[in-house]
Amino acid sequence: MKKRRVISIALTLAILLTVVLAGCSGGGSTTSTSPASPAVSGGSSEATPAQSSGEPQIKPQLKVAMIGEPASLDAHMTSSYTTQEIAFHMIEGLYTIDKDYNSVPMLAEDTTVNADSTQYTIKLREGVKFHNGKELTSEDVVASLNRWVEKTSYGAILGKILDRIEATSTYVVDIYLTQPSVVVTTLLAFPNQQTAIYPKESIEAADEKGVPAEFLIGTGPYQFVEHKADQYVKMKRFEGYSARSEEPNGHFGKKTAYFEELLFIPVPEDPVRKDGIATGEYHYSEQVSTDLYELIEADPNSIPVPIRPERWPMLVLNKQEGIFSDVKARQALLACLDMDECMKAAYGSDLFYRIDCSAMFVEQPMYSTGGQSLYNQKNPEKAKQLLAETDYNGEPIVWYTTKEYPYMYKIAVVAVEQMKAVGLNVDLRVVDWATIVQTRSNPAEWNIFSGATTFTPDPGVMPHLDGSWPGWWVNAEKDAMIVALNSEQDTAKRQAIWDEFQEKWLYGDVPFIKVGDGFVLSVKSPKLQNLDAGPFTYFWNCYLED
Amino acid sequence: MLSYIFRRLIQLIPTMLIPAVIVFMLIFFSPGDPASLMLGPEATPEQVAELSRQMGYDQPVYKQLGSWFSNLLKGDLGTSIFLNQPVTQAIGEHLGVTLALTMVSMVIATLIGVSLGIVSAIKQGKVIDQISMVFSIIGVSMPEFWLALNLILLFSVKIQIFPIGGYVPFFQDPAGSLHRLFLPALSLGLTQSAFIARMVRSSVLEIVDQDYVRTAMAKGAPDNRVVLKHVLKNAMVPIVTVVGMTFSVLLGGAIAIEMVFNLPGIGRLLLNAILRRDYPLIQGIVLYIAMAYIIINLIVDLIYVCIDPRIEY
Repeated sequence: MKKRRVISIALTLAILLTVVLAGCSGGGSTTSTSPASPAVSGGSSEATPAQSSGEPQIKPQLKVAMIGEPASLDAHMTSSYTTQEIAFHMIEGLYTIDKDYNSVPMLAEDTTVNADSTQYTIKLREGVKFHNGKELTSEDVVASLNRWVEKTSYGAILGKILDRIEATSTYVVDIYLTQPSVVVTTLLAFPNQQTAIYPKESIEAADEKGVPAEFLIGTGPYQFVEHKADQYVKMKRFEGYSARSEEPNGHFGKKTAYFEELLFIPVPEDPVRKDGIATGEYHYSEQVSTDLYELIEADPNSIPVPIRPERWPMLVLNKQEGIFSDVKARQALLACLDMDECMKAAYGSDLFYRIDCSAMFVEQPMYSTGGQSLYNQKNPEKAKQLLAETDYNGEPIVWYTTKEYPYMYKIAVVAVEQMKAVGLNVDLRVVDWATIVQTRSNPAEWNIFSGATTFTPDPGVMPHLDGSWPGWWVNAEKDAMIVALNSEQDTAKRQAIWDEFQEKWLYGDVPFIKVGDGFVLSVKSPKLQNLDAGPFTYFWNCYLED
Repeated sequence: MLSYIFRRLIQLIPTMLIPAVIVFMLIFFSPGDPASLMLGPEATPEQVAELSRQMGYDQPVYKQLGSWFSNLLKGDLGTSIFLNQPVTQAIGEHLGVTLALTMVSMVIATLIGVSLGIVSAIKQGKVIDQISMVFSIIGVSMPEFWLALNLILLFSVKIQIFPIGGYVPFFQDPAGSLHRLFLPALSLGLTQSAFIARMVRSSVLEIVDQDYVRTAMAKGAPDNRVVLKHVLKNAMVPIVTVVGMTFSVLLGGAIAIEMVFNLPGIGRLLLNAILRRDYPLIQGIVLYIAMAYIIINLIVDLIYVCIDPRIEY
């Protein structure tokens, strides 16, 4: 009896301890915090009085529901959209893009280029402060740029022609190239994996996993506070922000922070992101299913926000091994596809897709209709003819796709039927994205994989054109044309080169097949005003109205 | 008794390590690697290879496994690749959410399941028994996430009396915490209660026909006293077993519920770790789940001693 009592007491204590642990865990320790992060109020509904009459009031908090947890908060480390969207708010680059996707100076004051475009002299804005109070100088820029070249895919493109980067004086940086290039400022401006400028000390503190949390310091209108994995990333308004004076214009111009705090919350489930707007849990939810558009439109508490443009899905063809090493086979595949059917399956409403052949969106400079006659041919007879000229004998064509990006899977399912109709035998393998990323590096394992390209700043820097990118488009003549494209200083001539390239190479040689322009659907609260939602949505200059 | 407890704790070691090694091998030989996922789709093959090398994931499997074992002996579960924090810390931060959800779910599941099971057994064959069993069949057949989505639609979107999801630590805001946990716990609790109800009913039915129960009733003991003192007490062993099993399953993380309600618990942590090929975190969570199972089963076995004096170790 005594024994049983002891055991009973012990068990009771164990259960109590569990309850205590449940209450304590998750609220005490934080994953990572900035070094100077005072307690932040999160629940007050009181607004900071307006700076001047007519100007929006600064509200306590904006809650943004994101599609997932960021892989890193270091903008140099990953091209993941989740990372970039958060990073925009705390770091800035030398250049950025305006609403027409032109490259414009941000931390740079101006840039002079020598006659043959092999030297870029960038003068920095003076008096720009980092979040830790330090002033931005050329040594910070040099350290950041060198790391950007080493770590990022767009940096690697510059790295191929880079001689060196030098801090010529306190506010002047020189970039020396080994060959002429007109795309340097375009590369510096692109928001995805942008040339995030950190203090030199942050770069020195970085390891293989990235810049540590306590060194996530930038010049942006918001500064990093803390990151709780799977819960939120918190930022606070940077009182000492050095704003430009120009009118707001996309990512360029004056940035005003109208929230004391930004809270980016990973919410992986589509319906929850959508319903969170209706219930007031969130103010903005990104990328919900386009199937929900009508429901959202009918709800007075939600406003649909189509994001146009956003990406274009594609079929990447293995040109190194297998059937698609033969250009005739690639042309046959291009001929048989009905892009209308594929895009309809992928996106449903035609509000969310566009049938367009261009590698650059119509909203961008360098838009081209080159090769249009070869796009969306829907010509199975031609496809059969072309196929007959190859050595294809019905062997399975291995196509890797994923349901993690539903549009990729839906396109594949429809396209497979179209391919079967012309005699192509397809082995469709549906796997997770991690498997595709690894499998695509082995040419013996696949013939097609589903891919997509998000916004590309310039055709001359498109990673898929490079021979080392999976698909292995190795062609000296094509490479020479890209060099010519990137060396040509005259805009009109450059456009002509690109028009020819698109027709002759993208639609003649068919290294990959663009399916169409895909858009996405985000949702916002009716209270959120002046939001400039686009492929690189940001939350400065927007505000909440009661 | 103590030697029994000690023996069971010793058994913890191979029971934890064997699944951890198996999972390590499965993950290692699965396609996908953490470096390419971390760097994003635009990364060049050279950048991916360099990061893999820096993180040590270009090493042969035996070296990686050996390294993991030697760190484990020092109590170091390694560092999460994606979260860039110690695995123990990552698990600890997410464990509280799962524990809170589990506790509240179990309260709901046990209260409903045990009550329903007893009533069904006592009123065997009557309308209430049939209704209860229909409910339990629906409950065990119904996917939890489907129920969860419907509860959100009704209570969060239409009526708006519960939030749509999210988590608040209990000691930060007890009322707010329970408010947010109620719907997810209800989703889990209702489906688990169906299973418990069936087990309780079967267990109680075996007891109600016993001679000593008939004797107690013949002697004029009140029904509720017969049920609570004679029937339930003797039916507790299988009930405790099923409650314990349910508890240990839930402690492993209810992935679907955590995803639907946006709860940063162990289940969601594990799913994300798998999708990201975060090897150290996957192994750490597997070890934790194995440990949770064993400890819960040990506690259940010890509870048997309290319930049934005939049981001795």
